Amino acid sequence: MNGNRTRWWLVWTWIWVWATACAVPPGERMATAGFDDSTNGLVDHAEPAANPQAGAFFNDGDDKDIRGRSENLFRDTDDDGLPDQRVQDPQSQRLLIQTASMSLEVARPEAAIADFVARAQAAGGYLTAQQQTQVTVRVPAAKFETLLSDLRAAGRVLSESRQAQDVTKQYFDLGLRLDSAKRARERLLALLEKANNVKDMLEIEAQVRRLIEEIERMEGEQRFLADQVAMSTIAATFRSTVAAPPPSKPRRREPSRFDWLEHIGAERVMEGF
Amino acid sequence: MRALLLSLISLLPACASTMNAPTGFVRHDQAAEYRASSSDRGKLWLRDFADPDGADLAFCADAMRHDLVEQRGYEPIGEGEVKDADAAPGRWLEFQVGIGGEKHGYLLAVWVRPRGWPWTDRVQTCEFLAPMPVFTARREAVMQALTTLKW
Repeated sequence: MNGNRTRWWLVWTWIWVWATACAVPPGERMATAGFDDSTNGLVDHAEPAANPQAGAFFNDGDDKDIRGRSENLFRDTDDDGLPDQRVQDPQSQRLLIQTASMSLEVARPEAAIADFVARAQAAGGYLTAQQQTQVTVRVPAAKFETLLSDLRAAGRVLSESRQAQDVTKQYFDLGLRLDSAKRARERLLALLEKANNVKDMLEIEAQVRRLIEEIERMEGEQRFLADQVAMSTIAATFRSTVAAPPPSKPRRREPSRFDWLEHIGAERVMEGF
Repeated sequence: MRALLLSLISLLPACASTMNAPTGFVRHDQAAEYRASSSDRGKLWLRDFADPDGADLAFCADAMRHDLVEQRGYEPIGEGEVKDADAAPGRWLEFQVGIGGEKHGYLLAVWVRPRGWPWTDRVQTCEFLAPMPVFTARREAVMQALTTLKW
């Protein structure tokens, strides 16, 4: 009887956990995602620390009621059940993966490449690939525009293209799912403490392991997105302005009126010997 | 008969040109113009041309330099003055030229003798041609031999 009860308890808990993650209304979701702070009982979201943009996005550092703040940050203006990322300054709050590619004509490609890489490194970036006169660097997002301006000034721009992939919603959703999974893990661990037979314990442990794997996968995905947003990519191709010399053609020599000039030369020596 | 005699006399300046063969060179024959060869494809040739226009040494050197560099694509290496056995001033010009896909060195030394035989100025040349490594190795010996030139 006890065993059946525990089993039913497990099943209902599991159903409740996943229902919480998938079907909680927007207002409630913020609370279950763990947007708490130490002042009003709601703590700030701590992850990911590496991404200032995401930190600013999720951080509730001003002790405001999370619901009031969520209305500012996460208004659902299109009634799709998901909060919009509309803020007073949308540009600063969006998470964008920025890439650019540029082709330039320069007097000395080797010197231009060295200068470009040095500038990227000075800005806190690094070289990711170089193939002959094509170079790819990653630089902090804050230095992206500066480095592009520097690159334009280095030579004559032949072509330029830019892309900005908005991953705000993707990152936001990932954060929510991560928090739900972590809370479910905590609840299962609490259940494990109370389990009183081996079969139930094994079942709960299997569920916990699966959750841990899921959490690690989502954390990895979140870290990847954060890195892509934090570091922008610029690919530059440098071409030389010096035109290749025309193919050599046989010279048409203008005959000279001086006899002695007509008979000198290496060709004449070869003929005469 | 007179024509034949004059033709024979006009050859005299050419026949008279001689020099001590540079080290490693052997003269081809004793007739007409002086030619010598080394065992490694070095070639030496003395020639004498009529100069009825009376061009001086500077003019001849300039004309030769321009023709070889601008018209024939030779690459100039160096230039300088040289004196023959009679201490007559001459000019040497050095070039690099490709022949048959191989780099060759070409040295051209020129003298101008006013009112030589038969009653025209003469432009006299000494040419040394060899593949570049041979040219570099034998150049000094040829320059030494130029100072023994007798026209």
